[in-house]
Amino acid sequence: MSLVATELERHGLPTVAIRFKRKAAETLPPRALLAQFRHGFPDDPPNDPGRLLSMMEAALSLLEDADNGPALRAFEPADSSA
Amino acid sequence: MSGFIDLSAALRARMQAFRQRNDPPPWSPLSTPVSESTLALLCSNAYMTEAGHRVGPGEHECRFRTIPTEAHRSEPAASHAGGPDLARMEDERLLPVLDRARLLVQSGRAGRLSPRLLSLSGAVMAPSRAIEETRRLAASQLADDQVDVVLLVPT
Repeated sequence: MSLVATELERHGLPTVAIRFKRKAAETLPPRALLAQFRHGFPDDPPNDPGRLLSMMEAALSLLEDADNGPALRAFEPADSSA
Repeated sequence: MSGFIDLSAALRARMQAFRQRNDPPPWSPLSTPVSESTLALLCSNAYMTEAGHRVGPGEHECRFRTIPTEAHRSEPAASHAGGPDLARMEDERLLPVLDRARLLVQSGRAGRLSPRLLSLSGAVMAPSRAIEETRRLAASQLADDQVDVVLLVPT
């Protein structure tokens, strides 16, 4: 994923990646949102339909906020009880 | 799939040897606000059987698959090297991401969704091949769809 993101950036396409491993996120992707979820289970758990949407929104926010270089940000879920 | 540690030692060693470092990595600024941009999704997929065997497009290969975002289901038999069953599994994993992306567009958070979603499956054992395929996609499909930003989501 990081390899693909880097190559897309090289071609002038802004990217942001959701990652779950800090070590992998710190190697390459120009913008990475580090989220805590089990490998292979990034989608919403039962009774928590908003988490994936929140992660994607946070990733887009990182894309907008990181306007002067590579960035790595930890995803902080809001209260998902709504 | 539990994680990287579940792969064979030989495979892990080869993958680590291929790890590339860009200092600093290539970086492109936003030219259009996200709320006015065409957003493309790129999802990664990996599958392991209960016995711990990887299934996918081919041992140690990575493949891109293009899926129309307007279609509820793609045509798995025609679009997946791993066969129709694997394609159905993959499509089901992609649906939540696609659903949330549509919500982002409906709420105005993103301008519009690219007509085609990219799915990447398999292990990147040959980085040069993955890089070349990415270049081809950037120059053709992503350019044809007038994509402004790419969101990479693991599934």
